[in-house]
Amino acid sequence: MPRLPILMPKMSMTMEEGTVVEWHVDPGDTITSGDVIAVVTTDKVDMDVEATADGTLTEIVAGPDTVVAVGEPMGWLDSETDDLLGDLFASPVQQASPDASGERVRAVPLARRLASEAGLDLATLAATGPHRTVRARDVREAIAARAARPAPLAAYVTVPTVVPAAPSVQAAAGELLGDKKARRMRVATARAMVPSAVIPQFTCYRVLDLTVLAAMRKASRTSVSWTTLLLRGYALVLREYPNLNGYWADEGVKANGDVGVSLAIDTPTGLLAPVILHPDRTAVAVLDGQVRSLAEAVKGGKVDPSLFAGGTGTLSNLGGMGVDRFNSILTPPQATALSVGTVGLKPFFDEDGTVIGRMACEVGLTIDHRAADGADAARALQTMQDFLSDPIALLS
Amino acid sequence: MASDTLDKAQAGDLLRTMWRIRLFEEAVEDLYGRGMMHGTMHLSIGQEAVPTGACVTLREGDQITSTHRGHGHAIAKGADLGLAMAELLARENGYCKGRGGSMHIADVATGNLGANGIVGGGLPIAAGAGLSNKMRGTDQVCLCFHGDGSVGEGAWHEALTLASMWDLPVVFICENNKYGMSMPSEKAFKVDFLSEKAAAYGMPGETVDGNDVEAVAEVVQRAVDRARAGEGPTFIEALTYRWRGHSKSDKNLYRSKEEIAEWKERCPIARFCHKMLEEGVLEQADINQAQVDVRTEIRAAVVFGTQGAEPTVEAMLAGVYAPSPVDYQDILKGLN
Amino acid sequence: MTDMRTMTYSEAIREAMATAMTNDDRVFLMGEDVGIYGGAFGVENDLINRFGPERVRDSTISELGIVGMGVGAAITGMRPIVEIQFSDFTAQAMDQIVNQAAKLHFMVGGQANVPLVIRTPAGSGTGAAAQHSQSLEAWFAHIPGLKVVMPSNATDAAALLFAALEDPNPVIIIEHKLLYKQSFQVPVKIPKARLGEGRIEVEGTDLTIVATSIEVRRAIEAAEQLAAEGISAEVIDPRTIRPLDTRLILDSVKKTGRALLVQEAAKFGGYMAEVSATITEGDAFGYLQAPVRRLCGLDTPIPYNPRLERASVPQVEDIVREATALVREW
Repeated sequence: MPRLPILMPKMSMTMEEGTVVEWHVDPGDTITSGDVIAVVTTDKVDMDVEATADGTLTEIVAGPDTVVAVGEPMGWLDSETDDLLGDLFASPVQQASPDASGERVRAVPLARRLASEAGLDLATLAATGPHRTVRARDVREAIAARAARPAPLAAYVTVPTVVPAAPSVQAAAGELLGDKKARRMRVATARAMVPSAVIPQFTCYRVLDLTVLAAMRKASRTSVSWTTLLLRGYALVLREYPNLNGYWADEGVKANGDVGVSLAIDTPTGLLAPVILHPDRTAVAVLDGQVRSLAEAVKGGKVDPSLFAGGTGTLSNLGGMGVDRFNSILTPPQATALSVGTVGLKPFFDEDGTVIGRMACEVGLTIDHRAADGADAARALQTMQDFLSDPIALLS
Repeated sequence: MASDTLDKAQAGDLLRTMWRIRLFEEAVEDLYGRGMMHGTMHLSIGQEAVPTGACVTLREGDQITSTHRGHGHAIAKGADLGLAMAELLARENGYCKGRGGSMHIADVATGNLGANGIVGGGLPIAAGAGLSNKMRGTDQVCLCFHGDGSVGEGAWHEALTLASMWDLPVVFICENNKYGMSMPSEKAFKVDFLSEKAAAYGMPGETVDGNDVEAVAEVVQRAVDRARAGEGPTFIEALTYRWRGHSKSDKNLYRSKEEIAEWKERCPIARFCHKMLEEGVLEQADINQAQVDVRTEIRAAVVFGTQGAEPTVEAMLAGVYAPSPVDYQDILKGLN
Repeated sequence: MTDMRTMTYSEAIREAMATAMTNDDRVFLMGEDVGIYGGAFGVENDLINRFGPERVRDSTISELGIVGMGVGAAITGMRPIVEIQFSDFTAQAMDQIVNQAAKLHFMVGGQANVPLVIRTPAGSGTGAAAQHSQSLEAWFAHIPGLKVVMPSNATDAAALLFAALEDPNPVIIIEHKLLYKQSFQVPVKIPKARLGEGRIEVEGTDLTIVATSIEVRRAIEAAEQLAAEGISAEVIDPRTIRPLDTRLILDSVKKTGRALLVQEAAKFGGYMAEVSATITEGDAFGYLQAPVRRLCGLDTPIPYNPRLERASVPQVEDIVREATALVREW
């Protein structure tokens, strides 16, 4: 059952903190929304604190005479009520890859140790201690919850199966657009993408010649999608260049052990990028199957949050929607992103200047300039071309 | 020990001891002036007769406690000049491994229980040594050197009270050099002679010319004999004078040049030489030779001292606590 | 099965002194009113009859003098026990304790040891007010060259006295006035204690309570009450203040993740600040799930009024309250 914090409410314009006077309920009591559960004092005036949800009081962290800042938890409630904004501050964004955002999470030393041992990102955990500090029990609960495979996180990844038409009604000025879930998606995307803005990044474009692969596809009985083949090529490049597969960590590029490619998928409510793990090693036919089923699952709305972990690069394909070339921005902490444009016949010049058509695709390789330079990007693109021109190398 | 019983050897010993103190102090002053010595120095130039005369009355096993101005006491008690110099030069082969310095010079094995940086610090310790001697049933005696300044400390009062109450074998020798740093003792104490205070503690008190080495020896001998016989402590005031300031930072603003000059006329060494010559105990050649010999000793001591190694932090830390039997057991276990 | 008998804290000390004096001619006791009076708190009782006025020596009121005499006797072959009647009076003797006893061995480069034992009662609760009720272990804990112990029960009072007499360094034994008349089960054969070795009095898993002197007794009682509330407290008595049994404390905090440090002495600049720093600087840091908390006497001279006096130092209910808050909050 989700735990909701009982926050010190801001009860006046200038209020910054309040002192708990007394609690009217004890841990274990049932609470109804609207009940007066505690009394706090601020500016010498006593004020009633009302419950904002139904549920059971599980814990009091601020007893009488404790001073709590506005917006900080005084206690915790077990409740089924939809927490409109709570999960935006408590839940993870996408991946459990190393925290390179530079933001320090408050946690007691034991919590840090337990989280590190369990491979949990402290930033993704509920912080129930005083001053929003992650306590050891928070980590233990997260470990237990993970072991029990809880239901997917509410709202963020649950996509409605019925796709509502894009609203054509004129919205009033200043009104927030989209429904709750869509808005949540936008906020989450914004949270993920804003840190990308401070990363120095550039994109190198190259038209990849797919003639050889096109002939192979034609001759083969199994049909493998272009996305799969380009994904494979990208994965091999990442394996070939560990610095592009790694992530920037202040004093240098740290390696990621494996390759994992986040595949950007458009869904009715927004962009999701579940990860395909070690696509450099998986048999291409299997890989193709993974790509297909992943796309279906995501668009269908039921995705396990653990599918978003382990990406070391992102592949976005807007070619199917008519985009020739684009430069997707990096998803931190990944060091590269490949933007795939339309796959189709493109004009080339042969030796005597005649225009001929060849199967090609223009890709943009966006690179974290802290981790690599232009020449590295150029070399990587050349390698990708080499792989795509050598089906045996590509597919083995 | 009256002067008519002094033979050449005894006179020679007294003279050499006083020269040792004088030249040692002058060497220290010189080294300090060259920047080779650290901290500050409390020199006893001009006071040589007191410890010399006092310590000649002692037997092996007797103890002394000393003050911050303790080089003379240590030398008179038989300190090794080289080890003393090495300690002042802060070397690890000094008496105290470079950890104590001038104010804490000690040679416990030969009964010098230590100089003391705290005025009056040695008084209760001397009483304690006296108590220990008595309880152990030996006839050891402890001489407690202290200055006129310490007579103002509560510790002086407590030590004399306790030593007197328990009839302890202690001889309290007060080197009254007229100043407790800058405070004239004549101003500080309303009695004419500090020895008058002894009566208040029920012990004999005597004032003696501290610059007359034979007179000092005579008075102290009586007190030591008393103590050894179990008759309790004695208080002796030895009138003397220090030629140099209290310490190296003393500008001598509290006394006049004339006073210093006047006392220099009463130099204990010069007086003794003069007397020995007059009485025919010593020849001028003996006197000269004594000075030459001591000069050689002091120079050798300085050379020894400057050759010592620098002490280490590890050795210092290991020296804070004495290892206990339990610690030794651990070490043995570790070896096995 | 060890043979036990019931005896008070002060009886155990007296018997230990008697045993020491019987076995070693070098041991003697010196202090104020320790002879015919029998000791201000009755600790000496009839010792003077058993050992005579030379070994059980009444002194004038001269703390500086008798501690200094203790130093002098110690460096010349004796094993003196000097009693300072109230630990507040150690102020009178500070030069001889801090400048002489603690430093002589060091200053003379190891030429002499100072095997001096100073015994003194500390603590409040008798209505003796500000100048007769202090807990000053922090003063002595701070001085390199001194060792300091605080026995919390009769067995330790005896055992630590024996250990102190065996140690060649100056040892200050800080007893507690309120413990003198308390009865304890004491083994007939006093077990050997080591200076620098603490003891786990109560085992537990939710928090570590480190306490000294009478607060050990209160912490043990608090642990029982806490257990009834479902909180498992581990109570540690370091027994020796300096040198501290750091390993024992760190291992415990690694296990429980929480530390509550309890002393009767005033909080600011007190001993438990040292223990707290030791915990956070040590290898227990990564296991901490709560800030290290101190529960100490109020920063006030001990007052005369009995309710104020009681409120000035941690009582059982204070320990229960703080331990509960610590475990619930963190």
